[in-house]
Amino acid sequence: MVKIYVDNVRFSYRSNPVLKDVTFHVDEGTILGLVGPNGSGKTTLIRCIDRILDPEGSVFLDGTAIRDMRRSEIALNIGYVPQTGAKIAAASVFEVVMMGRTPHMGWRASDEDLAIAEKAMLFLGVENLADLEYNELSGGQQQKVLIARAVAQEPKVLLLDEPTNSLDIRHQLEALSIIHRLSRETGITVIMAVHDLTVAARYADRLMMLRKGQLVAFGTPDELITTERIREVYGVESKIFRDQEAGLIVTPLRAISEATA
Amino acid sequence: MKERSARKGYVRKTVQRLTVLGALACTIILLSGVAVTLGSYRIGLPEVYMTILEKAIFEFRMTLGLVLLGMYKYLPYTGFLYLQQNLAGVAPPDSGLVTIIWDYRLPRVLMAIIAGASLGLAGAVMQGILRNPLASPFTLGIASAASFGASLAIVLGAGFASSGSLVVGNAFLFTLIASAAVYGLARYRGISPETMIMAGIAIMYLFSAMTSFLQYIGSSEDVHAVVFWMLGSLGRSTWDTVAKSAIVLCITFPVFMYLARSLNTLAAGDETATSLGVPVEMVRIIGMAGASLLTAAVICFTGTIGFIGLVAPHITRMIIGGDHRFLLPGTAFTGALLLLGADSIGRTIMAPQILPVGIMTAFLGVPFFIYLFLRRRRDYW
Repeated sequence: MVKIYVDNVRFSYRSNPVLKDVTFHVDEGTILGLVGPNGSGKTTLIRCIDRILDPEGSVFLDGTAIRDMRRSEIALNIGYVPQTGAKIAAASVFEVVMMGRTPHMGWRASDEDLAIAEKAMLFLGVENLADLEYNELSGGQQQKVLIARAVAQEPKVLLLDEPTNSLDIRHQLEALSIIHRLSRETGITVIMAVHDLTVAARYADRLMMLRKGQLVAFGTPDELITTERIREVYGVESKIFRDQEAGLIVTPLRAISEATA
Repeated sequence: MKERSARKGYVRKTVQRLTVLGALACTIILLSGVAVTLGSYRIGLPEVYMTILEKAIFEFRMTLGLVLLGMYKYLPYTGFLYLQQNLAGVAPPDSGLVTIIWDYRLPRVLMAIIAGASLGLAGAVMQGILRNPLASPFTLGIASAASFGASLAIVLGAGFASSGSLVVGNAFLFTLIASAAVYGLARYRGISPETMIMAGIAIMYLFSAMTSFLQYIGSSEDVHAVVFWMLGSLGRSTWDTVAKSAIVLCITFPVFMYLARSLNTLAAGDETATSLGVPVEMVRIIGMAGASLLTAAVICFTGTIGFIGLVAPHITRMIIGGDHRFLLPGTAFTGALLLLGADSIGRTIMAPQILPVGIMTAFLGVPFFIYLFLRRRRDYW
């Protein structure tokens, strides 16, 4: 079943077009990885899907245009994990996770809200950080807390912008397998922008490649990741290995100079 | 590590915060009593509370009586009996003591509480909506606009003493003009913290320059009056000004409390707040309008008292945390305590000379602020 349908989405910052007629759909309960070089429009696309930005064209959630939905209604359905780095003044980790309950709770948090926030923290393994100040955490811990906040929001669709950006390899694996498990266990639909092609190939059901705001390829990781395409989109010579255990591995070899690309 | 629930820690913290709020409220009641005892004529603390209570009950009964009298036609016989028994025989508890306490000292003390609470609250809201630790009602040009309005009335009007209401009205009016200008400028580029601060600073400098110009062309008596106004003083407080400021506080405080959750979410950034369903621009506009109104309703009577709006929120945040549901009432209490304490000391330390409260707040608040700031090493902002 189609969960998210993005129809001819176009977006420009002032007169600079960032997304050009992007159309695709995501099936319920699957993980879509957005890949592409820097500045290809991944973050903008994610913001358009959550209607933080209002693009031309339409985004449909379960067949309803999100433009016609109320802000609070979108918040009940779509969770968004931004890139880390922003500080959150004078907030404990538990308070940050509780923010995820904002669309659900009133002025006073119910026991249920507290329980859900706690469960989200347990899921991410950050429950022992609860009383700490968010700003004092390491980048990796902050990342997990932000994911926990989105989990506490109990959305149907989870959008993640570079969720592994500030993580070392161990935490990358942890975070992504948590997201993977979440999707499999709760049937949540995930759209995540990922830098690393190998990581994207391992955890995403479908990949979508953007280049300069245009969709250049959409398909399963095996279909999509080829040395020709990496050369074309990234301007990089690469080798691709397939390993029984590790799956598809992309190893970049060298950048092609602009002239030959 | 032993089994410990994250939720319980949060609940325990909530209880702690409520306790702190209760303690602050009690301290205000105690300190205001003490503040009334201070002055050239010494009065005992129990006497103060008794007199205030007696007079308050009397005033309440009089008001109730007058209301009942107004609708005596519709009253049942019991109501009539009440009037007969309770009003006819009651003598107003008037004596020198009542006059000193009720007419002179109490308005000043109440004004200190309301002004401190209002300025602190306005500062906390400003810092929240602008996500900036340096924001205060004064960042957005509100105070300099009030100063200009007052100066204009003093310099061009008929002088300070005779045109009190003109000074107040003008200060209030220009504050609203400044807020509208900031809003208009920021609106043009989208209401973000950056645009609002930029617009506010521009407006602030404009009004300061215009005030300086007025001082330049004004007579020396006028300039003296302007400077005195800008120092900030609670000496002009009456029951009338107390009531006016209190009404604005009573209207804006519930609105701010209603926005508390949104303000919490706003701390995580506009995008996250939007994504969590918070109408970011709306919250920002309401917050700015409310904080401007609140500030205007105080400083038009007191003159500029700058420090509280900046520091009371920080002190409170360090004690009670950043959750606006507790931070807002906490800041109101802290602001009230700071201003009341500063004014009480300012009244007595060089008696019979009274030091302007604006100066005393800084003398008193800065060391306390620095102490908290150094003691607390956590990277809280």
